[in-house]
Amino acid sequence: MSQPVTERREQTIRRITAMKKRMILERPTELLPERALLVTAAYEEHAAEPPVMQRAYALQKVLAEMTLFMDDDELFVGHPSPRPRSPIVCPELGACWILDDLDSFATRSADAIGLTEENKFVLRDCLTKWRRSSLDAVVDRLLSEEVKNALDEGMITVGGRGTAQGNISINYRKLLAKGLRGIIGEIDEKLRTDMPRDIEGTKKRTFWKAARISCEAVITFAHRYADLTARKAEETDDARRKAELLEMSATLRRVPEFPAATFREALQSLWLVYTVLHIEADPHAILLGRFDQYMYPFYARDKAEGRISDEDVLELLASLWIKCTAIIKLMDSVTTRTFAGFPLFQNVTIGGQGSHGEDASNDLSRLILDAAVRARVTQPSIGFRYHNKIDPDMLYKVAETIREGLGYPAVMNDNCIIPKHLIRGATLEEARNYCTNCVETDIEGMTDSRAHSGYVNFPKCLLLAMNDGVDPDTGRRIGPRTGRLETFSSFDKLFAAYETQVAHFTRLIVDAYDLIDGAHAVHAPEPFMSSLLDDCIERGMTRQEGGVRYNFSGIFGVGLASVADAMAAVRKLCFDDRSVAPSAMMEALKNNFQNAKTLRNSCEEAPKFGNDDDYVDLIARDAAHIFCREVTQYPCMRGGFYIPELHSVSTHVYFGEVTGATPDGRLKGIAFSDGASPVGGRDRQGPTAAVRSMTKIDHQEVLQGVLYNQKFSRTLLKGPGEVAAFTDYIRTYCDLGGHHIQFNMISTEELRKAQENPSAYRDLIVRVAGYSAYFTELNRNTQDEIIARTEYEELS
Amino acid sequence: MDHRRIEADGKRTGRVLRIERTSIHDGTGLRTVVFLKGCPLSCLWCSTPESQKGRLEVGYVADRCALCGRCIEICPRGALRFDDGKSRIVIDRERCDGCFACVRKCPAQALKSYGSIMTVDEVVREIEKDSVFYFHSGGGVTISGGEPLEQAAFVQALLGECRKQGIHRALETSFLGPWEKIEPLLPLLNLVHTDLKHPIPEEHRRLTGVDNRPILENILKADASDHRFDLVVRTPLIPGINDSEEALSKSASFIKGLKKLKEVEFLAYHRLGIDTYGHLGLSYPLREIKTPNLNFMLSKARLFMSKAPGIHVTINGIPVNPI
Repeated sequence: MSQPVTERREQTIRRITAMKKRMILERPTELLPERALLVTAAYEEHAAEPPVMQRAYALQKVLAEMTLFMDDDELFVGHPSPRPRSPIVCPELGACWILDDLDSFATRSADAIGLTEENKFVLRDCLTKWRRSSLDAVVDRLLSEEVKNALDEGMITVGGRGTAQGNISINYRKLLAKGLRGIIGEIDEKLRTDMPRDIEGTKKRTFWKAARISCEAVITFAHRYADLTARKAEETDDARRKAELLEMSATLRRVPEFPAATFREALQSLWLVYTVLHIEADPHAILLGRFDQYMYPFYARDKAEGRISDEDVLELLASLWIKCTAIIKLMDSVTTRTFAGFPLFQNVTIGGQGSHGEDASNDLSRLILDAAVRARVTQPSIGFRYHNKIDPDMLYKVAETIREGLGYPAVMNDNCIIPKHLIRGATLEEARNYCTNCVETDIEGMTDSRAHSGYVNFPKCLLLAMNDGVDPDTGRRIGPRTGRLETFSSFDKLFAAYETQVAHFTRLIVDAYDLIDGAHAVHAPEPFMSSLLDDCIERGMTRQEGGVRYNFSGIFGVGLASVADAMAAVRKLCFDDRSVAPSAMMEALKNNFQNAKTLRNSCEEAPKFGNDDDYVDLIARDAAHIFCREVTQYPCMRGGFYIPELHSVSTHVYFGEVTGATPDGRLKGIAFSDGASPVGGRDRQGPTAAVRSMTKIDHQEVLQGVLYNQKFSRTLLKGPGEVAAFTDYIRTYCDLGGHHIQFNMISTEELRKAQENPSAYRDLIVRVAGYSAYFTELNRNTQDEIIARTEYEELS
Repeated sequence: MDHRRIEADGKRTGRVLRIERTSIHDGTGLRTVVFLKGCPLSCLWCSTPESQKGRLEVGYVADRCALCGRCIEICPRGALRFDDGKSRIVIDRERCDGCFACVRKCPAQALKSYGSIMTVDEVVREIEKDSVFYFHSGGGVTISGGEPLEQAAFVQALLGECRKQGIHRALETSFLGPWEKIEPLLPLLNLVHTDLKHPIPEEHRRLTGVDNRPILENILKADASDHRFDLVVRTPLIPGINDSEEALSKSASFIKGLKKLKEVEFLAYHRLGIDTYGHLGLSYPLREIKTPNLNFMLSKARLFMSKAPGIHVTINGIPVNPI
């Protein structure tokens, strides 16, 4: 039965390579109307039902009738659409924007999606029926003119307008332990015993029925796949594949209906359910939670009883990575411009603490890192939970994986994050069981924290604060009247005006998102996902209504370092040195620094965040603080409250595009700083100075998270000594109270790209004989010399 | 580091070229490296020519210059002028006293300052900023040059202060200097990096401008002292210049006898400092030499190891497996 190790490994590589090729690399994207048509038909058949029942019937119809996808090499099955890399269409959520973008999907420059003329015709016909009733149509009718103006001006964005919102992890432990049959049992128990005779009771019973229909539909879906695999087993002549297919078919008869008994069953169970979560509403960022924890008992038992080898696990995990990357989500043209590369923000958490605060990292955590390196695809990314008791070998392995340059794992700091969950209301044991999004953290299966509820454009708030609420670039009044720079007697007055602007736009987001939240509760409930979240069944409420134990809405502050740099420049030039008249500054900004080269130079020379300089770092700290204070004062519709985050995903690019010149010397249209990181290339004192600046911000009070993205040259991590030093560096960042840090590794390949395309790499810094320099500003010979040296060091 | 113009008294103040944070190649752990100005050697391959002169210097990047002439107006010593074609600025380096008024005035950042006068306290304050990083990594401060022995009293005061703060201390020195200056530093040190640029006196003089006999003597004396520090001997390998079998075996026989030796490190020649020569109005003294690749470095390291078995050898910090 058992094969030699190398032969077994080659088999894995063959399977992974073939799957990756067919499902990702050589698979063109294509938009197919199937789900849209099935959902539309279901809504028509059940026109008189309340929305939560319509949603359940729609899911039931799709799962019963959709084309099943299966790759020839798969070991577990499930995909939300008829083909890999074919996003599904949710007309009930986004008919209006999808219609608007229908002609551009296939031709847009970023993340184009193939669409045949015939399918376009079918889709247009289908979507047009939803023009007045889809979620985005409803939301558009709800939003005030004031909010719409702020959106048009690029002061804020508001999330969830035409799509489901994710950043959520279901209770995988419960799914694997009870199976959907067990969940249905819970629902039946509630239907039998919980009979309040009022309108609330009616609503509860409707939800329970809808959840029950959904769970049964998923079991049927699994049985359809069981039939498919059985049929494929009959058709194949390959004895080994036949055996695999028969085992898969038997597995699909058992899970997700019943509790999982083995690692393979557990993986099939959770993946099929994961697929259905996409089919139900297609939110981004459905998290895989603490995979190395809830899967470990299955792994350990199978391993002890000889049912599985580490190579088997690697093969399954690498397949999981490929299957995750094969799912893409339909996004609008504006979003794809800044979120290029089809990111779905799926995430796996590893490491961290157990319920008694002990180190929870294990052999499966290590296999997850190996599998990710083997699969080498973009999704899901990995969040590694660091804490003081972490196994040093685990940390070392994480550092080695970071060196691979995949952009993950990101490091999440338990020391900073666990107290946040206590502040947010969790018990200590729950807090220790948090899992990661990209930066946000949630307690697995019991948090709905709505990341991306809205984004505030910090630097533009400053421009309004300097100009009495008027955008100096367009002349439009969009913020409250707070005076002009020329009239402020001190920097404190300017800062106070800035506070007023930030407070105003934060409140606008809250006003808007409360309405959107309500629209989701009425029009877009998710009965299936809700049945797998604590305590929706118990409370008889969907997650949209606030059925989940912990509820929050996240507001993101964008451009913190940019705004701190800008304020520091104004403070220095106009108030401390008095070398620039406020009117001259305003004039220069209005003219995008045209004919003001010297002034712009002075602006650029002013202190910059990221260099361990209190002059500007403390402005960043204060700006972060007032934002946190404003956000956390508002309760949210589902219970809980609004929580702040310093993270921009790619919104700093969009906000930069729609904002005029700023006093830090930045020209109109240029991107702002990313997350809470320093402005690209302005941190010139080395990584430790940048870390010191970063951690002067109080990460503890930023309850949803602080992103720090640091670029590192691979040469810095060439040997074991360097990797060890790198782990020390990570430890120190965590000692200083950092929330999250992730690293981009600059390779020689990238340096070459920078030579060819300098404008895209303007902020790339290299060290040259003791000094740091912008790579693209060096002459060709020096660039070549640096590349040669980098390559040389990578050899080792 | 500010640019206040105060006279260096040689003890509580010194001439600092720059302070570099997060270095991982100048001793154990994450380190802060303090580069001092002034060096009695002038190695042909020197990659930091801005460290050679003891006095503060102005660098000029002609490509960036807007030819506005503001620097000429502001210079209190009249040390700057346009060249004949008014196509660039010429600096009279004898007249320039390093006040950097021109650097501060330049709107195009075409002028840069090499060095500043700093007090011991100011330097220690910079070092302490990274002390939190020393804890996990076992890092600390490295005093480098130029040649630190040129400012021995300042270095002694600095090291003494760092010892008080419990900071790990390393010194990078050529060991060229009077023993009276070297000896007081040794009890303050945890680690010493020194160079063996060429073992043969005549060659050493040709390549660096100085005789190596006092250097070798000082190394032996320091090695024989009772002070407890580790010694790392480094050789920058310049192809065709100091990589002959004879040079390597002579080095090996000298190094073999050192008691405090922790490792020998070979550094690959590079030309990254070449632009700085231009900024200082100097020409690069070496002919075109190709940067050695890893195989070349490995073959030289192995050759050395065959002559000095049992000695731990690294190439640019990467350990080489024993033969």
